[in-house]
Amino acid sequence: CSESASGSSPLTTHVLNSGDGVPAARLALSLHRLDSNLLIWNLLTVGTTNEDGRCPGLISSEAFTAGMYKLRFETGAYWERLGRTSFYPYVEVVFTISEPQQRFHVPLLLSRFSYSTYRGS
Amino acid sequence: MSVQRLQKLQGHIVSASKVTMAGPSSPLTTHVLNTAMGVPGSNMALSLSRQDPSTAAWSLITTGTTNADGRCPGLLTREMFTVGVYRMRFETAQYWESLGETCFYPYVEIVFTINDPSQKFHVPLLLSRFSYSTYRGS
Repeated sequence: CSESASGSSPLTTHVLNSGDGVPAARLALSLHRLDSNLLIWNLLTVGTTNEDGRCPGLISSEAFTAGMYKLRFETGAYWERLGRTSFYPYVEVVFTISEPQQRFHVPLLLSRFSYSTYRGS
Repeated sequence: MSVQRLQKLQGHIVSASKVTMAGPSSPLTTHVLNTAMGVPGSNMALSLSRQDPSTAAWSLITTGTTNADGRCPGLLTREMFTVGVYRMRFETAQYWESLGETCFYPYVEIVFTINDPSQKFHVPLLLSRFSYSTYRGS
């Protein structure tokens, strides 16, 4: 993720390693938007979470249009780097944005054998 | 026998639109809970697919609909449950739409790795309109 997006991204994430009680740092992730005509996913951003488990600059306000988005978290690679196995090779959270003027927070609370997400602000 | 018990038994016997009907208990089970309303997520469409390890293509194994208890028995048989990467897809927006509500998630796909198919795996979905969680159960 880059800090170069002007202003704060209207879409944010935060990955927590709930198994160890720490932010999930250096976890690779990507943001995609569904092309509603072609029904394929367009890659918008790739990034890695920082020490706090966050990834600023996911998308600019201009680029954040209404549509269906997917955040893909490379959770399997994350656990593998920590020398552990995991039940999920990756996690994809697909969500619908109808009102792109709002702020959306799509966090991931992750352990080796569970995960949860919610719509925050 | 209570009404609830009869309904639960009915849910086990009557399963809609299945590609396969497993006899003995499926080694893979699910359970959908509507955490917002404190009820089982019943009548939710779902499907199970397996990924081909060489082509990475997904093959559909089963489709089904959760019963009154939010469960979907007979997902697959022991023989079909091979080592591999599986995907359970839940039609969450369709479910909430049938309740007259919108949902942040058009669908939920949970992808998981099975290395030891001799075990039993429970892949539940705890769902509200704006959140969901899952865990590996047994």
